[in-house]
Amino acid sequence: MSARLSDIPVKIENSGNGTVGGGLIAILREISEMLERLSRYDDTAAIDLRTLPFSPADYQRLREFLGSGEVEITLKVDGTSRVRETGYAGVWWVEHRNPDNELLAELLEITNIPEIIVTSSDEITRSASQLRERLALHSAGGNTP
Amino acid sequence: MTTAIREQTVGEVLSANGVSRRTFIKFCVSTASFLALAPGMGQVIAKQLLKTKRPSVIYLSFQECTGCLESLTRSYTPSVENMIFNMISLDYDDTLMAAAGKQSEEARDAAIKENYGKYLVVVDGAVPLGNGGVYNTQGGKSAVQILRDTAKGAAAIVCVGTCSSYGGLPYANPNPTGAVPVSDIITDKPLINVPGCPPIPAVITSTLVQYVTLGVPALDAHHRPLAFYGNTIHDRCYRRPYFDVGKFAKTFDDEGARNGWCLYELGCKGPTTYNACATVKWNEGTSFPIESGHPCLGCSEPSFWDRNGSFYAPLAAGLIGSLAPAGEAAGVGAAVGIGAAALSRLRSRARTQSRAAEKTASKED
Amino acid sequence: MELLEFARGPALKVALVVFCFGVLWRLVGTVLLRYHRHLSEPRDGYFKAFMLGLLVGGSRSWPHKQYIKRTGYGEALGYAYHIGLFIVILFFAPHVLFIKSLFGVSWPTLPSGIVTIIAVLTFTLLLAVLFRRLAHRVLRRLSNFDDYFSWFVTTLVIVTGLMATAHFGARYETLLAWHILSFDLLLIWYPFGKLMHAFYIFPSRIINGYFLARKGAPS
Repeated sequence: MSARLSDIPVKIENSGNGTVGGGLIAILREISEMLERLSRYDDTAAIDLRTLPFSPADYQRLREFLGSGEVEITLKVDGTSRVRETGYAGVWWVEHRNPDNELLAELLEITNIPEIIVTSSDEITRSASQLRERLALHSAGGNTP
Repeated sequence: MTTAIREQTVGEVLSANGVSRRTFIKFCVSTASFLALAPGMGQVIAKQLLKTKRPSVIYLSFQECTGCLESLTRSYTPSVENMIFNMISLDYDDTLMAAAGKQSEEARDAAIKENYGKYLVVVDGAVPLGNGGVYNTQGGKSAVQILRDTAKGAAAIVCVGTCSSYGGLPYANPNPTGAVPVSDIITDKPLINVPGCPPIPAVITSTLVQYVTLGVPALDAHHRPLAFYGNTIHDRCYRRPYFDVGKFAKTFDDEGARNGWCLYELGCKGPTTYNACATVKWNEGTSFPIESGHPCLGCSEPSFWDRNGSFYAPLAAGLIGSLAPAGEAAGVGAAVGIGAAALSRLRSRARTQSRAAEKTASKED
Repeated sequence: MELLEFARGPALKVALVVFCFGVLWRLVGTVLLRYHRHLSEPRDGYFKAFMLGLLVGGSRSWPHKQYIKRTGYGEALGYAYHIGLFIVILFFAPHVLFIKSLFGVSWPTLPSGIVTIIAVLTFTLLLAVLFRRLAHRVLRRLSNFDDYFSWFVTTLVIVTGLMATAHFGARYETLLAWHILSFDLLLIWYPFGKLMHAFYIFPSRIINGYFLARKGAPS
C-alpha cells in the first residue's frame, strides 16, 4: 500500500468559532486599502494567492468572506482561465490553468476589469481589417457571408 | 533574413505565430507567479515585452549530452515553454538551427557583430582545457576559444545545466579532458547559473524571461537564481514529516520504502541540495525523484558526482574510506604507551634502588 | 573542496587518527605503570577483593548518604546531562547512520523531535553546570583551562547540532559542516583533556576499590 500525501496527519489550524484569523485579517485589510486606492487614484493592484502562507482552511475562509459577484468569465487561452468578480465590486478572483487543468497562477486583482479580458486597440485594428477583407472578398464574389 | 525578424517586437512575432495577446499575458502572469515576483509584475512584463525588440541569444553547446536542451524543447506543454523562442531571437544554436557548417558559424559571427555588447550567451556543457582544448572543437576552433570570442561582446552569460555551471560529469574525477565550468574562464561578465542535470524546463524559461525583462535576478553564492534555488529539496519535501518523526526506508523494497517514508538513510541529498524539484516537479507537475521512490542525487550542486562518496551513502556518513589509518594510529598509540610506561618503570626502579643504596650507605656509616 | 566535504573527509580522518593514537597512548601508558607492591596478604583473598573492587566501581558512582545534601545537586546535574548526551549521541538517526558508516553496526533510533527536545534540555543543563562551576567557590579554584575547554567543545557540538537541526544562522550544509568540525575538534581534544575521564573513570574506581578491599576497608 502506498501512502498518499493526505495520509500524513496534518492538523489544520482552526479558530473554530467562525471568526477570521489573523493572517486572513491582514490580507483583507490589504485588499480594502487597495480598493480605496483604486477608487481614489485609479491604482490597480494584485495579490498572488499562491505565495500566501495560507492553510487550506484560511483559503476557504477567504473565498467565503469575499463571496461572489455578478460577473464570471471563462477564457479559452491555452487552457482555461476563470475570472470571477467577488462580492466586492472591483475585487476579482483570477485563476489560470494549463491545458491539463493544472493551476498555473491564482491572483486577486483589484481593478475595474482584469487586463486579460480587455481587447487591445491593436487587436481591434487587426480584426477590423480582417473583417473588411473578408467582406470585400464576399461582395466581390457576390455571395452572402 | 535574420535581421528582419530580429527587428520585430515580441508582440509582432507573437501575433505572426498565432499567439494571442491573452495567451501571452497568461504566460507572463504565470511566470511571474512562478518566479515569486511581485503580483502585478506579470502584466508589466507582458506589456513591456510586447513592445520590446527581441534580444539576440547565442546558445553554445560544449561538453554536454544535450539533455538540457531536450529538457527545454521537449517539455509536455511546448506551447508554454516554447513561448521563450518567441521572446528571444535565437541566432545561433548548432543543435536547433537549420544551417550547418560554415553558414552556422557565419550566423554566430553576424549576431555578435550586430548586437555587440547587448546579446545574451547561453552555455550548455563544460569547457575542456586539457591539451590546449582539443577535446571539443567546432569549425576548427576549440570550445574555450569560441567561448572567449563569444563572451567578449555579451551582456551576460546564462549557464544552463550542471556541466557549464560547475563542470558536471566531464569535471568528475579523474577529469581526463581537463574540463572546467564557464565561471573558471569568463570572470568579467554577469553570470547566471541554472544548474541541474538537467534543469527543470520552467526554471530555464523563467530565468530567461526574468533576464530579458528585469535583468539579472537575485542570485545565491553559486550564482543561482534565488527564486528557484533558495530552498533545499528537504525543506520542501512532502516526505519531510517522516524525517521529523524518524521513519526511514532502510532498503528499496522494505515496508518503509513502500509506505513512502523518508529516504535519508538511502543516501538522499535533499538536505544539501538547492533546487525547485519538490515544488515545481517534473514532467508537468507529475512527480520528482523522491516521489518516485529514489533519493535526490544532488544534481544541482557543485561536484555532485564526487563529493558525497556515493549516491547511496547517507549525508551523515563519514567520508574517510577506511578505518585502517585510525587502527594503525591506535597501534602506534599503544606502542608509545608501552614505551612511556617502560620508561616510567625504569626511572621508578632506579629511584627505588638509589634510595635503598642511600639507606645501606647511611647504615654503614 | 567544500567545507562539509572537508569536515566529513580529511578533518574527520585526522581527528580519528589523533583520537585513537591519544587514547591508546594514555590508556596503555597508565595501565602499565608501576604499582606499589603490596606485601601483605589480602584479608579475604584475591577474588573477594577484586569483586569488592567491582562493587566500589558502582557504589562510588552514587552520592554518599552523609554528603548528599552538599553533593546531590551537582551529581544530579552531572547525571542528567550525561544521560541527555548519551540519548542524543546514540539515538538520533543521523548519528546512528554516521556510526554505521564507520563501524557497520546500527540500532533503532528515536524520533528527531524527541531527540531535539532532549538536546535542548541537555544544553540548558550544560549551562547550569558551567554556572555552578563559576559560582561554587571551591570548584572555581579547582578549575583550570582543561575544565573550561572540555566544557566548551562538548557544548559547541550540541549548539552546532541544534543549529543544524533548526536550520538556524546559516545554510544547512554550512551548519552541518560546523557541527562535524566541532565534533572533529572534540575528538582531537579528547585524549589530552579531562574528556578522557570516560575511559579512566571505571578502571580507576575498580582498582582503588580493589586495593582498599585488600586491606579490608568496607566498600
